[in-house]
Amino acid sequence: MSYERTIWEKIADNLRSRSMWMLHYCTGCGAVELPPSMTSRFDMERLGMGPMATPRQADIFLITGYLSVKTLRRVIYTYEQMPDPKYVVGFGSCTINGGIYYDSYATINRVDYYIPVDLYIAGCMPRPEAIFEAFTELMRMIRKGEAIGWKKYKENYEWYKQNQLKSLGEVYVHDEFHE
Amino acid sequence: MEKSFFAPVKAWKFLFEKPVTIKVPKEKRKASERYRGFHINDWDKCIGCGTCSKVCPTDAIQMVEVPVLEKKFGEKPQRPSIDYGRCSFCAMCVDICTTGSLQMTREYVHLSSQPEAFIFVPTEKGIKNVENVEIGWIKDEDSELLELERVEMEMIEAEERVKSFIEYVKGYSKEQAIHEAARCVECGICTDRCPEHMDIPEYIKSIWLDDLEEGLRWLYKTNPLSSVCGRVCTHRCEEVCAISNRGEAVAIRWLKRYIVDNVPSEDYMKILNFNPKPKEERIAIVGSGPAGLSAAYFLATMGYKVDIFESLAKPGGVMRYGIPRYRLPDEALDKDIALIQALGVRIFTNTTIGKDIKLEELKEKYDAIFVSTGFTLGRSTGVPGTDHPKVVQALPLLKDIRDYLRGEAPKPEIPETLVVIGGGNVAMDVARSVARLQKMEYGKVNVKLACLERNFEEMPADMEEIIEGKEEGVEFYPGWGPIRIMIEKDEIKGVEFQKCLEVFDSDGKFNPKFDANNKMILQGDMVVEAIGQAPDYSYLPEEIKSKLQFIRGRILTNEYRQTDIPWLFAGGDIVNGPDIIHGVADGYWAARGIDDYLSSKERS
Amino acid sequence: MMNSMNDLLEELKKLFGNFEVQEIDEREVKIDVESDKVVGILTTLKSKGYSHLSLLTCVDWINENKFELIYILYSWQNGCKFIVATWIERKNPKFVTVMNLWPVARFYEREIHEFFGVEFEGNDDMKPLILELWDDIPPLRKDFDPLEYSKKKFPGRQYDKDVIQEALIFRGDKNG
Repeated sequence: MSYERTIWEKIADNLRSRSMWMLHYCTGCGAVELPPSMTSRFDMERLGMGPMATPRQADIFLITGYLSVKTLRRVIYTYEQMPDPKYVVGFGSCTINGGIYYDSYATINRVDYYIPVDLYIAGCMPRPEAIFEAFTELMRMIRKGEAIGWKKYKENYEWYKQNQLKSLGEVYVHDEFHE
Repeated sequence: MEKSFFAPVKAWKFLFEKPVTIKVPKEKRKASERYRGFHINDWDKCIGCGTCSKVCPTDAIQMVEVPVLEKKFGEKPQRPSIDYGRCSFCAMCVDICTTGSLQMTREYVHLSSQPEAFIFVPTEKGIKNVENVEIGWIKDEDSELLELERVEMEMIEAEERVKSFIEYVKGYSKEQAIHEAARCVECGICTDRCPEHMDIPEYIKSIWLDDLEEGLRWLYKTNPLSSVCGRVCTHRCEEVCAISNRGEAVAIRWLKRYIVDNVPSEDYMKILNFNPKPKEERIAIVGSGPAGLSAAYFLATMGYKVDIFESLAKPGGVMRYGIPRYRLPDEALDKDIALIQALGVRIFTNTTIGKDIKLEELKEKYDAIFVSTGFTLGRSTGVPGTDHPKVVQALPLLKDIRDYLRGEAPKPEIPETLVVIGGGNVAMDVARSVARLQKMEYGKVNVKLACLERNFEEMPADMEEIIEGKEEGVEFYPGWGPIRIMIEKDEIKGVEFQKCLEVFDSDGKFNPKFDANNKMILQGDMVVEAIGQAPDYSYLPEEIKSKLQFIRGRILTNEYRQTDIPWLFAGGDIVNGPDIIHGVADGYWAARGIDDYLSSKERS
Repeated sequence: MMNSMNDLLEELKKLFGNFEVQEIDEREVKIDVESDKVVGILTTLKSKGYSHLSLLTCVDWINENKFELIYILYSWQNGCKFIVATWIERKNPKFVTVMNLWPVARFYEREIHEFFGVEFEGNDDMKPLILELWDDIPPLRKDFDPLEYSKKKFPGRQYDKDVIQEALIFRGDKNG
């Protein structure tokens, strides 16, 4: 699952993999695994990664667990705001097939139906160690040019949009407190 | 407190300390000892009961058919698959696993860009396909979700029960029954094992819901002799019960008895609400044992007119004349027979086919005939002295005892000391019945039981019969074969035995070997031979007999118990044996076979 | 039950007639009252110190075909709780607002309207509070099937892998 890259793209990918800014979308239980990952216990900065405050500067997007219908709209907003290339990591069962919320009226069942996911981590939730394994794996994938979710999103934009509309009705966020 | 000027300098000491950071992923960290990681499943232990799948709160476990697994009793050819897109690692599947085959490891890292990597069927090698995976979560007493011990059945103490023939198993109370029913995991493995495929999980569930009427409907859907089977069934179901892999099987038999005992017999017809369309065809049944009664019931519920012919004075066959009263009281049997009669089945007692009516005559009057005449002739060891009048056969003795207890026959002669030869349930029945008579007559028990089988496990009798018999004072001598009956002045003094070294040869054939130097004498003034029974086909005319095929004394039939003569069906001991529930199953299949036969005849 | 609560109950009974009382613990009591007396009782309780509406919620009793509305009032003076429950019809459920007593009730009532479909007369703000673009019957009603809704709206994953084949290879019963 790799694509043809020019030599410059290869070099760029190599460099990208060494400096990743992550946007951790902490609406799921997986959020609690990130503080130990970021702080001195496991120290994420060793890998050249750090948290980023805004989507427009971020490279990787962590979906840390279940997404409710409401948060999915914000996730899609956020994902579309991120510049290419962008990578998505799904944490735990919920992002793969609904997890323990598989029969909830308010949460979606699989994330890759709405936005492409580059890497999944099994667990409920995955431990920081598993998250680190995932980050190194993601770096490898970026270097090899295998993390191409962002390309898929462009190529199959119609399909993703149609799924988003099917489950959400409307992706646009209406919010009485901000309108 | 005044701080030292040099205090900040202390911070430099951390220069020489090891950093707290754990350098994953270079450094691998072990999960804690009881970590709930990915699953492994020992396929050889797993029985595919599906309890894990049922308990899973996230519906992550699906049972998948495994075509290569051979089909056998006590196991379903399926294994659990686990979806890590669902699993929440709660370990309830491990805690409820009936065999303990499903376990969780200390592995916790699994990633993939492909979602397909997150469903798998756990094997002994876990998700990473490695040998000797480290086990994490192990269930303990607190996390165990099964109740492994059965609710104890109250029984009358041995000293007390041996004084009379009253039924010594008391039966469950409502609380006990509901408690026992709650142990069932509804896997249905028992249903596959039961010869009659009774809906065991369904009726146990209705006990749990305290809906006995529903339970009764489930029982009588497949078993018209539920009242009898609830007491004396050989309960093959309990042998395979999923719970029995680690604990005591659910007391399926006693639960069945609880339903029939606690629904008044007057209400049966109302609850069961039979509404058959009457049919013209008439069917004769020879013999009113389990198979005969069962066939009659199923045929009657289909709307046929059924007549049963019984040579003895009361219907029931072995249930009336063989099984002792302390295990199966007449009232329990009468309850089942009354229901069958209420369906319009007529029972002609004291009518022997071949003597009072010829089979050919029956053929003239009826459209189909079902024979279930059972094994009525005793087998003899044939050792010298067995022709003595006080060497008797088991079945006639048991019949005499039951007739006497009903007040229909004089008291049989009660020996002061008795030797029983045989190791099956019939031998137990004789030993325990005579023990009771001795206790009533002489105040003490002196019954000795000898058999070829070398230990209690080898003996064909149920273990509980042996244990209970022992409690009642029966002495057991397993591993001895009789040589001769010792007779002095026409009086029996005892039996001489020689040690039995081997009962079956390496091919599994009955071929006992003896040690002629190792001998023993058991004193006794009466001997009962209970080494098996044989069928009596004298009622079959030669012309019919010649058309039938016999395999080791049993009539060969097809799946629907149809013999080579289309209108003649057979069942019970003369076809399958060896117990009541097999007879009931024969009756059920024969009823379907007869129905097929008659409706196809009508069409042509 | 504390004496003050007992006295208050007696007073309420004098004013509003008899009702069912269920003591939950020393400082908590539940009363079941007819729906037309609820506002009166709540007003009285509020004036007697039970001034904090700590919860307004609803229970769907589908077999009885009723909704149960539950008001939990808390007194900051003695730390006691009064739970006032009333039953309303499940079909076209309507009740009166208590916004005039507790302005915060606006949001509780919006929530109950959203999740059970109960109308509160006098509360003109019945916009959905939590869900966005909801398109089915109110989701906390017992006749709503969340699994079915989830399957319809949010497709689950269909795995194509031959898991048995893989397991057999793992076990060495088959060669990969």
